[in-house]
Amino acid sequence: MTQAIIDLIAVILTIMVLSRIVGDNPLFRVAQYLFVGVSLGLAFVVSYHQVLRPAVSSLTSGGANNFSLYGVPLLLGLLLLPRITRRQEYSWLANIPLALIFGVGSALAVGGAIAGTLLPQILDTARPLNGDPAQIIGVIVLALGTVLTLSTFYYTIPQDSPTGRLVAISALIGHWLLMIAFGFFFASALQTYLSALTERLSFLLQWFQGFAR
Amino acid sequence: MWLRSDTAAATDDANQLPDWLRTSQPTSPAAAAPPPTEPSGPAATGTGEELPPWLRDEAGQPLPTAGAPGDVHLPEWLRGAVTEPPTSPVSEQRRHRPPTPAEPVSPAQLDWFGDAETTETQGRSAGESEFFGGAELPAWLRKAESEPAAEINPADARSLDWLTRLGAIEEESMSAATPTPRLPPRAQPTRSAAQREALTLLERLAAEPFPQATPEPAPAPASLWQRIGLERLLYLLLLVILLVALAVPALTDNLQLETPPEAPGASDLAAQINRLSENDVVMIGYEWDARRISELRPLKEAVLDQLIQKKVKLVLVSTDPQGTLLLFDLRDDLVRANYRTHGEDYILLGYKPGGELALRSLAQDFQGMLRSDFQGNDASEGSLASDVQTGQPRLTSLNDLSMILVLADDSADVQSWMEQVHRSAPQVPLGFLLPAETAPIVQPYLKQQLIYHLAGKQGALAYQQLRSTDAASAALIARDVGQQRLSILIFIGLFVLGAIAVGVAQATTRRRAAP
Repeated sequence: MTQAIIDLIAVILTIMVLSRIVGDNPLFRVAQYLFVGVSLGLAFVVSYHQVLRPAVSSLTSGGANNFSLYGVPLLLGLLLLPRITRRQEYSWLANIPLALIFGVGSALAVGGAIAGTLLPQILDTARPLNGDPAQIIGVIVLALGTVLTLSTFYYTIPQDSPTGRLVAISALIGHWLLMIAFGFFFASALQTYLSALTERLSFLLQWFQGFAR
Repeated sequence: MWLRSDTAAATDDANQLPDWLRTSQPTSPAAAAPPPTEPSGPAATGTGEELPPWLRDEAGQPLPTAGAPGDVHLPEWLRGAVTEPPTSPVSEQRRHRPPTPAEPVSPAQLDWFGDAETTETQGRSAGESEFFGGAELPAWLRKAESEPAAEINPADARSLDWLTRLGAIEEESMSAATPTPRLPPRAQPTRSAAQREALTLLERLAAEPFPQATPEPAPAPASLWQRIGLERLLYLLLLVILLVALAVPALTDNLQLETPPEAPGASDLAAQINRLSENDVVMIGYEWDARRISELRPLKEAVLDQLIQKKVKLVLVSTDPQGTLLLFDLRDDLVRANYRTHGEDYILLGYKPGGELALRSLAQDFQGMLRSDFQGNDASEGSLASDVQTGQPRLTSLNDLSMILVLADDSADVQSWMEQVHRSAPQVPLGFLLPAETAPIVQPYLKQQLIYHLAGKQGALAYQQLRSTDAASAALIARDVGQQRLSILIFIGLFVLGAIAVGVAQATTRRRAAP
């Protein structure tokens, strides 16, 4: 019975979302607002049950270790609360945890990007030329494509010089390489959205077939 | 001469004053007046003694030209105009008014001096005009022409109107405060028709800066075809054809090719998972939400179900709130597969807030992370995380894991796991289950060593094909492949149809518009 009600709600919401095909209408907007509201509510429930409640219960159970592990983060979290009201006398207190979050987050992101993204990708574009001929050609094409694509974004060289003309030609080729890459992205996105549409239509069809029986 | 007669008349008037007034009266106005500092007229040069040295000859006698006016040697047309006596009403009034005893008359204070100079200047300029009248002067010598009136926008017109009114008030107050003789009204300049029109426009704009909105003509009623629109029609066509294809699977039989579906990375991932056994521990990251359920659920069913079949030990974690909810669904699958709870066969860490921060702490202190599962219980003492017989921990870092598998719906998730987790444990195989949309974006990560991936529904079907052993599951896979191919073909067909229709419509419009 519960599953039947859940399925019915899912069918109604799916039809409300698909009603966008005839234009913007209240049904679609209700489904949209419901999705946002439910997502926020779910995030709050998850945060309460998975973060706040365990932290408070551990803090109240005592122990110096628990205080440093849960008390300091809770205190920093409480400092964010003055931002709730419109009175700004104490809102500067929220700057302390926010500065901590942004500082640590930025450091983490920069460090991670250098070690986890930039260096591996640079190394990957300069692979050694060994293995079978197809692999060697692939490495050359990869390196050339990288240079040509990067030259698309090289705007400051005058084009009346021989070097400038060379850069202009390579930028043109790089531009088309970018277009081809965007075409792949679009085709992949199309696959994703058609899969979603097919899955929802299949769900609707199965529900109606079961309802007819 | 006229000044002397005035002075004489004043002296006569002074003789008629009573005695009590005569005592304070100076003996003569000339005695009361301060002496002039320098000679101010031809009368001063009448005697040779008063001449400066540069106007005398070597014998000290005056030069023959000393007494003559300055322009006596000039040609007739260069001489100045004849100085006329002052004619302004104020000067006339002063001339006939006797000087009062309290204000002695001084030559420096006389108005006729300034008036005569003005008259002289006017005469000189008149002479110049006559002289240059016949000549065509260069532009810089001509009289400045009046500038055409600049157009004023409504906002300036309002401010101009305000300034005009303010100026009128100021003028009135000033004229009331200082009674001055009223000059005759200045003759109005003659304005051209264009200037008068501009003035009228300016006044109208100042009065009504914003014109009244004229009602737009009612649009022509749209036809049925225009109300529906080509785009909407194509969407409806796509929907109907897909519904029919799903309702009648036989329609897609021709699209179910003989060759099995293929996907890059599927065979490598299958080989890696086939190496795992029930003694291995795999960490699974749930970083997806319900929006990508159409692709990630088949991927999850294809890959995780195999792990569950092999009874591989699992550590489940998520930094996404919706992913956490979906993790609880996975827990139901584990319970159905007889997985033991309380950290024996799997550990559900649940939601770890902070995104990259949580992943970093997971990489740095994995054992500490195990101390609090989704209910706050210490999972590090379970049989999965520690050896029951020796009591030694089995899971101290990420390197103790056999594999890490991440279900990610976004390229940012892949980047975070690569940057924070994989660089801490580069020897641990890392697999990504992705939507087809995300796979091309994260290709640079997927090329690295010990990185596996499977993308989209096509990848899920390819993986299922590798696992399937019975004919029933093979038929289901073939049907799904046929439906997916049909949907792509229909979309491409409608896309081309729409492009042709738009091109034809534009060509027709251009042909009609052409003369």
